[in-house]
Formats: sequence, C-alpha cells, structure tokens
Amino acid sequence: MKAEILSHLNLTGPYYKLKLYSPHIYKNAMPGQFAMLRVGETSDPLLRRPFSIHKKNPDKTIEILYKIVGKGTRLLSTLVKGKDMDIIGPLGNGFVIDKKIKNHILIAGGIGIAPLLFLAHELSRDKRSRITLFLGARHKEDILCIQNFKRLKARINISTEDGSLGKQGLISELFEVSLADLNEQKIAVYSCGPNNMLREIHRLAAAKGLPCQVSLEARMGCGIGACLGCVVEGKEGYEKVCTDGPVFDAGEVEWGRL
Amino acid sequence: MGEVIKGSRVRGQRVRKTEIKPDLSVNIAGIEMKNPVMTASGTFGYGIEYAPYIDLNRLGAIVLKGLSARPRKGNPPPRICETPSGMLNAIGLENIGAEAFIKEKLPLLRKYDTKIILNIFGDSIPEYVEVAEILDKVDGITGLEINISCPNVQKGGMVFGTDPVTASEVLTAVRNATSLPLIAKLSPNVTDITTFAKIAEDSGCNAVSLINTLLGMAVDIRTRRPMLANITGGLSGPAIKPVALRMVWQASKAVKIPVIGIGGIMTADDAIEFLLVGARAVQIGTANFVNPTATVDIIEGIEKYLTKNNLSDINQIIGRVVI
Ligand SMILES: Cc1cc2nc3c(=O)[nH]c(=O)nc-3n(C[C@H](O)[C@H](O)[C@H](O)COP(=O)(O)OP(=O)(O)OC[C@H]3O[C@@H](n4cnc5c(N)ncnc54)[C@H](O)[C@@H]3O)c2cc1C
Ligand SMILES: Cc1cc2nc3c(=O)[nH]c(=O)nc-3n(C[C@H](O)[C@H](O)[C@H](O)COP(=O)(O)O)c2cc1C
Ligand code: FES
Repeated sequence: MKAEILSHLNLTGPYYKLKLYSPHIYKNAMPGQFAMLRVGETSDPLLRRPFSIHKKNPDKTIEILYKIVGKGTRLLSTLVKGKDMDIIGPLGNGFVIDKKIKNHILIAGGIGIAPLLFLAHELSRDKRSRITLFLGARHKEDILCIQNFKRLKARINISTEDGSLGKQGLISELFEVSLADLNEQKIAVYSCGPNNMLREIHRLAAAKGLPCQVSLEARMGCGIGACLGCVVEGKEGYEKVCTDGPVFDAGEVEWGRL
Repeated sequence: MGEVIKGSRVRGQRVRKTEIKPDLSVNIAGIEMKNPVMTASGTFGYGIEYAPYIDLNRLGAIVLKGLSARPRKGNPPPRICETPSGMLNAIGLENIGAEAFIKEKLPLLRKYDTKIILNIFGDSIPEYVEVAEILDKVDGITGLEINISCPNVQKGGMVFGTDPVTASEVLTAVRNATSLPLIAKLSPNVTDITTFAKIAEDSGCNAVSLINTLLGMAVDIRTRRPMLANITGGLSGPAIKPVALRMVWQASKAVKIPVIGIGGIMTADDAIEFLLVGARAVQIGTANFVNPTATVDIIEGIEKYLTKNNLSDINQIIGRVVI
C-alpha cells in the first residue's frame, strides 16, 4: 500500500514524527496496532520495520512517532514530504478496552509513549474516563507528547534517570509509590517500553491484582504471522508478537525468559 | 492460454491485432502448474496468511512451512536478524505437526485453484518416513518437498543433506513410503552440489529444488553476543542470489529431472535469470516479507518479458542462457 508523506518533522534529538495520508489505516486501526514500513527502495536495509500507530486524525491521516536507533530508522528520517511511503497495516492485536473500567493508568518508557497516545485518545472518547500517565526516560529530551496528554486532561507523572525533568529515578518506582495509597480496584494498566520496565510494571500490577496489558517488541521478518521470526515465550509456548500481540495480557508472558 | 483480440484504429482504418498471451505453464515432477512461480517453504506460513494481500489462485504452487510428524516448538528467540541485503534465520522448524495441518489448515487451502506442496523433514529416517506416510493420499496434497538440510540426531546431528550416504538413504526411504511426486530440497552447504542432485535423481525423486539457506552468523559488537540465540542461522535474500544461480546452473546440467531455482529472487528479472540457467520453476522466499505481492508481481513480470521478446511459451527461455 502507498501512503503519501504529508509531513515529516524532527521533534528533538533523534525523535521524528511522520504524518501519512492513509484512509485505510485511519479507518481500521485500533490503539496498540502497528504498521510495517519500507524505509528504503533498495535491498539494504531489506526488511520492513514495525512502528506503532501513534495517532489518527479526522483528515484520514495517521502519525508515527519514532526514534533513530540504527540503519533503518536513519534512512526513514531522510524521506521527504510529498513522497509515497510503502506501508502495510494496520497489523496485530491492539489494547483491549474494558468499558466497565473508567480509571486508566498508562505507563511508558521513552519511545514506548508512541502507541499510548492513540490509546489515550480512544479512552478519552468516554467522557467519564480518567487517564493517568506515567512517563519515564533517560533525560528530559526523551520525554515526548506531554502537551498532547495535557490536552486530554490526563494526570501526568514524569521521571528521568538523570533528574533533568520530573522525579529522578525509574518510572516503575514512581508507579510503585502511587500504588501505595491506591484503594480503588477498577483500574486498568497499559504499558509500553523496555522489557525490564515492563517486567517490573507487571510485577507491581499483579501484586495489586490490577489487569495489565503490555505492548512487546521483537525483530520482525514479515509482520503477518508467516515467518515465525518474532516469537516471545508465553505461558503456553511461543507466541508471535506480530499476530498474537504486540499487545499481550501481562499474565500470559513468561517474564523470566524475556 | 486465451487469445485476446484487440480492436484498434490506425489512420481511421479499423485493424484487428491478435495478441497471444504467452503460455507460462510448466510441468514439474508430474505436477501441472499454471506458471513457474511457487512460494518457498517457511516464508509463506500456511498460505492463508497471504490471502489478504494476493489472489492465491494466481500462484503456480504453494509450498508450505516445513512439517514434521509431531509438532515442534522451534528455537528460542531472537530467531532472525538482518544482514546486508539478506537475513539470517534460526526458526528451528517450528510447526504444528502433520496431523494438525491436515485438520486445521488444509481445509482452508483446498478451495484455491493452485497446487499445494508440503515441505517435510524429520530428525531421523523413520521420522521422515512417518510424515510422508501421514501425508500420502490425503486429498488436496499434490506433492512433497523433502527438506534434507536437517540435523540427523541418530548420527550426532550431522546434516542429512551434506553427507552423500545419509542423503541417499533418507530420499530412498521417503520414495518407498509414498507415491506422491517428490522434490528433494538440497542444502547449499556442500562442496559439490551436482553430487547431491544426482543422488536425488538416483533415489527416485522427481525434481530437485535449490538452494536452501547458507549457514551464516552475525555478532552484536556492543554486547559481543551472537545476534541469534541459536548462534548460527540460515542466510537468505538477495545476498545469496549469485551463489544460488551458480548452483542451479550446475545442477541443471548434471541431472535430467527438473530443477527448481530458489535463492534471493526479488523480481521477475531475478526469476528469469534462474529460468535461463535451467530452472524449470522458481520459488520466492524472503521477497514475500519485503513485498507481500512479490509472487504475483513476478508472474506478471515474466509474462511481460515473454511478450516483449515475442515469445509464446515459457519453455522458450528455460535453459537458454548463451554461453
Ligand atoms: C510492534 C512494534 C512497534 C514498534 N513501534 C515503534 C514506534 O512507534 N516507534 C519507534 O521508534 N520504534 C518502534 N518500534 C521499534 C522499531 O521497529 C525499531 O526501532 C526499528 O525496527 C529499528 O530499525 P533500525 O534499522 O533503525 O535498527 P537496526 O539496524 O535494526 O538495529 C540497530 C540497533 O538498534 C537496536 N534496536 C533495534 N530495535 C530497537 C528498539 N526498538 N529500541 C532500541 N534499540 C533497538 C538493535 O538491537 C541494534 O543494535 C516498534 C517495534 C515493534 C516490534
Ligand atoms: C524464515 C525462514 C524460514 C524457512 N523455513 C524453511 C523450512 O521450514 N523448510 C525449508 O525447506 N526451507 C525453509 N527456508 C528456506 C527457504 O525456503 C529458501 O530456501 C531460502 O530462504 C532461500 O530463498 P530466498 O532467498 O528467496 O528466501 C526458510 C527460510 C526463511 C527465511
Ligand atoms: S514477524 Fe513474521 S511471524 Fe511475526
């Protein structure tokens, strides 16, 4: 599928935002789903790269928020407005939203914020939703999307490892503190970020009996369930991140093997 | 193939031009295919995964993920990594097992007008025989492709397809277990590919397909760890095409049974190269990941090439490399 690049902005440092015209993805995407992007036209890099759908706009555009980490993302950052992006999506299973729950805790580590903004938009369609964001990163430059969450009236908690913004420390520590004086039960937790962070979030949520969904990452070959390259160990054997996930119930994941 | 009559006007005068659609059909191992484009095992799942992207009826044949007699869990992750113009994989032959395949997947495939070829493997000769017997005479299965690039646990993990004696034993055993057309899928990790092509022919196989992946490795220099949990993996994609092409050329000179070319085919031009050196069909692997419509694009590209060169039949290019 082709999708025209309508804008491509460098936010701060290695972070970019790509806006694509894609009525198909706009119409079908659910929060937590992803798309496979062809970042170049030659055979190197060869494989498509997976990116979460970050946002949908009423003008049938979608946005992707990404960080340059290697060859593919560096090449992606050179694509200019007006060009067509070769994209497949939406793919995978997104977050499950339980309509009975009104209290939502979203926890992101760094670029893990990308799928959570789309989720927050979807959650906020229910006017009774209360959204709390926990966002952690290394440095203040890695803290993204705060304005968007403010517009959604989310309660925002920030931590950075170097203390340059918010509380110094890990976001899981901040989450743990908040759990101490929590007595409400109807809460759902959604998280995306590095595996070590997710493992800790799962542990904390499980200890309080809170339902917790995590969005996992894996190297992907096909993105559509055909190559079996993207598996993670689940309680019932290997699960494909691309078609069984990328969002999993945290209880289904074999955390010791991740 | 059908004749298309095109009417057009030249200087006001109505002329009739007959455009013949070239005939792409080939017969491999007794399997009549509408065109020479097949999918490569392990890159096309159980087939249905690609139905949203292409019309499966267009394919010459679909070769599915390798099946064993019993389900296999496969290797721990990470199982794949990208390398320059290629990728390494060590999936470890994860599959649902032959019985589950027949029950759960085959019914979904029967409705398509294409040929279903099952890729099979085992850890020992009796296991190869067992899976071949399970699949023999099952409605909807046109042929078997025998993957001999597997370690033989009875012989200390030595790969069947790299030892002439075991290769011959396993192929003969499968031949005796089934009446289905048999394609021997050869490993490229050998000194002389023609030895193994001849063994396949002598064992009664009806065709050979090559190449399977080349054994490779990659290391992350930051962590100093191998990129794959399995340490080594199979290299596929454009990076292996010249090696594959050379081996297909050598094999097709060495045997009379048809040769199916595999390895780094991304475009119709790549496929035509394989046909020119003697392949009577081609399999498309890694290209499906990059471009899910690759197979159909390649069929259309071959057709265009024939039309452009005023050729009416695919057989007019097979083996016609000028040396
Ligand atoms: C379902 C899913 C959704 C994703 N969504 C997003 C998203 O919204 N935004 C985004 O920026 N990324 C996202 N990613 C990660 C993104 O796919 C990778 O960052 C990208 O594929 C890296 O490609 P590359 O060629 O630049 O790096 P490569 O050359 O493949 O890798 C370069 C180095 O970076 C490391 N690396 C690879 N992936 C990551 C990673 N995720 N984080 C840190 N280091 C990595 C590699 O191990 C390697 O050492 C997602 C991944 C998945 C599976
Ligand atoms: C992810 C992956 C899984 C594969 N699984 C199998 C398999 O189960 N059986 C088999 O015979 N070959 C398997 N192969 C090999 C391919 O069928 C093919 O021979 C090889 O990839 C070379 O072709 P390509 O360069 O077009 O991919 C696999 C290849 C890949 C990339
Ligand atoms: S990426 Fe191929 S199966 Fe998930």
